[in-house]
Amino acid sequence: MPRVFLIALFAATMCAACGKDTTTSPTTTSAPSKTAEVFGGTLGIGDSQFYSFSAYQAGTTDATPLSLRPTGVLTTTLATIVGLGLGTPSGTDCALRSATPAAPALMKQLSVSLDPSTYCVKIADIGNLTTAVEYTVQVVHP
Amino acid sequence: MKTSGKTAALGAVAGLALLAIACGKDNTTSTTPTQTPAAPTAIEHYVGTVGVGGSGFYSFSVPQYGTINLTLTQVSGVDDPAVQVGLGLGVPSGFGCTSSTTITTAAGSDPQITGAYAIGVYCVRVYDVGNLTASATFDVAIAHP
Repeated sequence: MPRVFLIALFAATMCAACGKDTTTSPTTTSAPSKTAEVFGGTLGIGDSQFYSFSAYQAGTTDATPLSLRPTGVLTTTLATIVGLGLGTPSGTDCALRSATPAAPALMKQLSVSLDPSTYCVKIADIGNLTTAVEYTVQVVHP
Repeated sequence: MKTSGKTAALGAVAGLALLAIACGKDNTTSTTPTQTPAAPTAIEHYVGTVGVGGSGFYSFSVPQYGTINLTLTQVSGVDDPAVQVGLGLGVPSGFGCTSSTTITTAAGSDPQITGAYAIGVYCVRVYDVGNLTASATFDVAIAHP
């Protein structure tokens, strides 16, 4: 009788366990990792250029003009204000959703919250260039 | 008493065996939902000029999963209007368009590139594959949802 009882108890335990997959849900959340891309080129008077990137997660994207210097001159950084914008590639251009006048600085000057998709950063002469300049811009995105 | 105990034990063992077989099996039939791509409802035209050894691209947005059809409808400005150029479909990246599908083709009336694509931003790239001897003007019809 005790043996039967033990078997029944074991069966009951099996029944209780059956079908239950023990899963542990992660409770920690971490900020999405970000990717920094630096691009550059030569910007002529009245010109604009754009650079496309893909954000793989929702989050904030920051754009920073890092440097602006006369073509071929490595030792000088200009304080000239150019246009800096962020938007979506559209047609043969970058359709801006946000833009700001910006001079080179080591701090973000444009910050936009974006969903996962493909976007573009645009730099443009807004009338302040007197000669072609070489620029670098950093974009940090999720 | 002894016999009934054995019977009970055998019954319990049989029950355990059945449990062991059943345990871990979720008797659910999973079916992967199939999504029908939406038909194109919009047409954009990328009209541009490609120089010798050059390329250009055009970006567009697809708001829902659906079919994209690219048709190089016209190449003009060159001696041979049937000249073949490169046509690509991809994603804007950096200063250009990274093509995932490419074809070397002459102008025609049927789509040279077609496929079902997810929501996103895409680009069409037209480029010289070495056949151009002068700049050519082209027209690409982009049909998408």
